[in-house]
Amino acid sequence: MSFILYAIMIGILDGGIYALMACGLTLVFGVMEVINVAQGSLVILGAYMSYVLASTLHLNLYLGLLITMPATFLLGMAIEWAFLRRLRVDRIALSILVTYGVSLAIEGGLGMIFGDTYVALPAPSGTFTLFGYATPDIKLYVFLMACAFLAGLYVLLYRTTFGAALRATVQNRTAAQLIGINVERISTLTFALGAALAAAGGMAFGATRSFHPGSAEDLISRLLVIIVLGGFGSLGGALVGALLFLVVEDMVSVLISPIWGPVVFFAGLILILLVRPQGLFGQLEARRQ
Amino acid sequence: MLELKGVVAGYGGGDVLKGVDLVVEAGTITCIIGPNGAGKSTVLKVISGLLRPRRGKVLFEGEDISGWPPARVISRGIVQVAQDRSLFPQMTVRENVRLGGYTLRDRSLVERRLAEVEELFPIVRERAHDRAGNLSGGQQKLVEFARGLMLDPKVVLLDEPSMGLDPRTMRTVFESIRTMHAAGRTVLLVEQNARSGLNAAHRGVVMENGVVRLVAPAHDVLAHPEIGELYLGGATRPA
Amino acid sequence: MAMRGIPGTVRGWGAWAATAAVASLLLGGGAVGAARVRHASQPPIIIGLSSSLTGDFSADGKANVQGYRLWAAYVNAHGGLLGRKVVLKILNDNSDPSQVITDYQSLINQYHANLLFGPFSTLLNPPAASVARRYGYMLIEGNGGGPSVFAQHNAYLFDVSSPTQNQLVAFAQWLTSLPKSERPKTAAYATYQDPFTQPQIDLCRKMLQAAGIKTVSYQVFPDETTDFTPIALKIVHSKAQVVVVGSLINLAAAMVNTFRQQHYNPEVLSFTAGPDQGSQWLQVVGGAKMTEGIMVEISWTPFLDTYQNALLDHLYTSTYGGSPESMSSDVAETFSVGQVLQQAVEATHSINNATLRAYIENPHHVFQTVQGPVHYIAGGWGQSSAPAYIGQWQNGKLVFVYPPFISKGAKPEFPKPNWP
Ligand SMILES: Nc1ncnc2c1ncn2[C@@H]1O[C@H](COP(=O)(O)OP(=O)(O)OP(=O)(O)O)[C@@H](O)[C@H]1O
Ligand SMILES: [Mg+2]
Repeated sequence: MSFILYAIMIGILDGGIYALMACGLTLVFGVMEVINVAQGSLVILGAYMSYVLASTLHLNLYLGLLITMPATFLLGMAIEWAFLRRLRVDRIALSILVTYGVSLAIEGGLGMIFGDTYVALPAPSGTFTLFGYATPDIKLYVFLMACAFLAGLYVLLYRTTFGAALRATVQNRTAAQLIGINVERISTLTFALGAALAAAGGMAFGATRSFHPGSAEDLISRLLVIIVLGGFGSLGGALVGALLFLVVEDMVSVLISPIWGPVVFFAGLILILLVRPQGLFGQLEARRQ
Repeated sequence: MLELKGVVAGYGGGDVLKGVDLVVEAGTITCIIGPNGAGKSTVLKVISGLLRPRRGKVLFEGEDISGWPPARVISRGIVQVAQDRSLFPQMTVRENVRLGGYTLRDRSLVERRLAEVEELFPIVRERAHDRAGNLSGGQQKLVEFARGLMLDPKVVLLDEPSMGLDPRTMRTVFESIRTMHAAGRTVLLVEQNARSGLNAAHRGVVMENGVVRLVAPAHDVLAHPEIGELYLGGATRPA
Repeated sequence: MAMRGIPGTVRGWGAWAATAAVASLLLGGGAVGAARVRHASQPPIIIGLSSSLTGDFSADGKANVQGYRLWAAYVNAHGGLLGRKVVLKILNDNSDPSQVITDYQSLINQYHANLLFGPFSTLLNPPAASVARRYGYMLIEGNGGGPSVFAQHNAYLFDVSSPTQNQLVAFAQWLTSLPKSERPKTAAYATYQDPFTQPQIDLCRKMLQAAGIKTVSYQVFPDETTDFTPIALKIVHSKAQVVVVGSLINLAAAMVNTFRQQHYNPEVLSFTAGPDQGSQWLQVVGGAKMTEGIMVEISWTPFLDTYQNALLDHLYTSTYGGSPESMSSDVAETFSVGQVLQQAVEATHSINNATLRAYIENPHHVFQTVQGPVHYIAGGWGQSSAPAYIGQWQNGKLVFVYPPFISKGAKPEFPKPNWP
């Protein structure tokens, strides 16, 4: 029994990290109608940046974020400006192609610099006991960090003018323009914010498992599934979707078999989508009006 | 005060507006009518900056504002209320209206204006904390008006405000349009509901196929035999 | 990771190599010397092959060709085959099974190849081999050892490398060779669900069960799994004495970390991949102390003390640059193809496909390759006896500990010492 509870807890701890990695994806879709399939690559890029800082400058992982997040923020601005702003028609479809190209470029670049070898971030090796099982401290730390970032994001979205403008853009782009919101600027900042959060997620990801440039590929499909479940454009959806995904996967994995984890999850996802095609917290219907 | 000169505009392939000339006099209500797809909404979008004209000019108080982004057009005092429902459905009514003052940097001014439009549109106060998406179509339209007035605009562009409303709500909407006009604003109105639109307006504009076919005092347009046949007959039929 | 044999020891395998070297000098070398004089104007021997120079397998396809080229260059520099120059005719199959068929047909009909070498991968060798059989050619290959290759029952195909499925056979043999009193009683298995690792684990499990080692946990998980904690925990829960994992490096690292945190120390911990990755492995598990006693199955490394392996290292680095570690095992596998052919040609003095095929398929004929000594298994449809070796981390180095002919006295550390 305690074993199952422990599996659930691990699912929640990992789910927090996935929520952090996925929140940029959902925001970007909400604001820009862009499916950023480069999100996984941005996460891995962030993880490598943390790796370089930690291994060359011996910088604390959390302090390293003070460098990696602004850097990926600027990179995000550049990507948005260079590629996405130019898409005027068929944004959703074209954005997949364009961001896929971006992700290949990032992955290729990382492969050239670091080679196709696995690395891990130097994480403290302490453990604490949870339901009788030793659990790495780092899992808890990065979970708390992810929660802090998500809370910060919530405050930004719901307590600031920028956040109001961002939400307005999500809910009705034309109307947002008509009240004087510069939606292009909001788009750039949102994409950049998503990239910066991806870098933070990358640190959390890399501190809890080893990764290589190709890790982005497995990652993006999981992140997209989380967003589909939670509902495109919904921050709460990303959080709930991530937690559900990881908890279900872990529970099925220990109760039945790892091979059934994704199967059960996808069966559940299909059932949910039959009832709520827009996902748990999706706003597709609201958007259509 | 607001003038379009030879405006050509479109969305992708062909031109939707094929050289539109139009003058809106200060302090008037001007009503554009015409069949679906004539380009009425497109005219408003060109003025408000949602769409850049390919050729031609938009002049406002003598200044060439063609191609300006919406935020800049707004700052000159031109506000558009879109044809579709355009509130932010997940936000409260008050948040919506307050966002109308997004471009105002002065917080106290925003609160003052909010109090003013609440006076004008009591629904904004009554339903302040309801989600905008939960209001009826007519109520939403009034809140959109309220939001548009947060900037105390000189010109209000209204795109089919009566669309989908029952006759009573429609009367309230036209009432509000007259109130706006009485407060000294210039109104440029697009209406499918040609009879009601023209009744409220001083001047009527008939558009067809991307060009202006007729400009005349509103009651003349109402009386025009051919126009009456084409647009007004149908408009009085129950929907 | 250095595990080259102590220089100068002539014991066990060393003696073998010396004998083989002398034998080849007497047989092959003599013949070559004579041939050079007599057949200077003889036409070259054309060996045809197709490889994936573009497409999905292009990285491996290029390595596949490198091994063949290194072998051919070396042979030509030393008098050729039977005094005739070896010319490789290489076509590109774009990683495409139907292009492979076209390629081998043209190699035979258009380019009049005398002999054929195999393309890259378990996917492309069967179609190539079926073309070869139709024309009475044999196909020797090194890069296609999946079960589906041998399931073709094509008697014209010979894989010189260890069949994928046999990766854990030496490991199972070692465990079952332990005296019953010492032998562990329980084992846990976990593997990716893919056609390469799962058959290895299943065969190993069958062998261990036959020797009375009970399965207490058996988990198969999908390819795209990235969160391994629950899988590792189930093994911890099973308290198995032996843990065998069909792995990649990130999975192996996650297992090691979880086991250590849970203070679970199996007596034997073995991975099919991961701990063989040298510095990369040390980086992801956090240093040499963490990996002490952990085993990994290896079929070839540049440091194996096998026939011409040091020569291959030299040929590779002097031709393509870099270090021996940068050489893909694909290269060694196709180099081995050349070695087997050369030894058969020199033994039979023939390049006739039927003659060579009869010689190669005879299980009594042992060939020396950089991967170790091999012979073909009767009724194995081209499966070779090539072994996989057990490597084990001991005092910060990966050492070969089994079978004895390669370990040169190094003994498996058993049971595995506790985590630091
Ligand atoms: N966003 C757009 N993208 C492409 N084409 C558009 C877009 N908006 C309108 N059009 C096209 O432009 C033409 C004119 O549209 P417009 O909306 O200006 O007409 P309208 O006179 O307002 O019609 P309605 O009475 O139906 O509102 C139509 O053919 C329409 O299909
Ligand atoms: Mg319209």
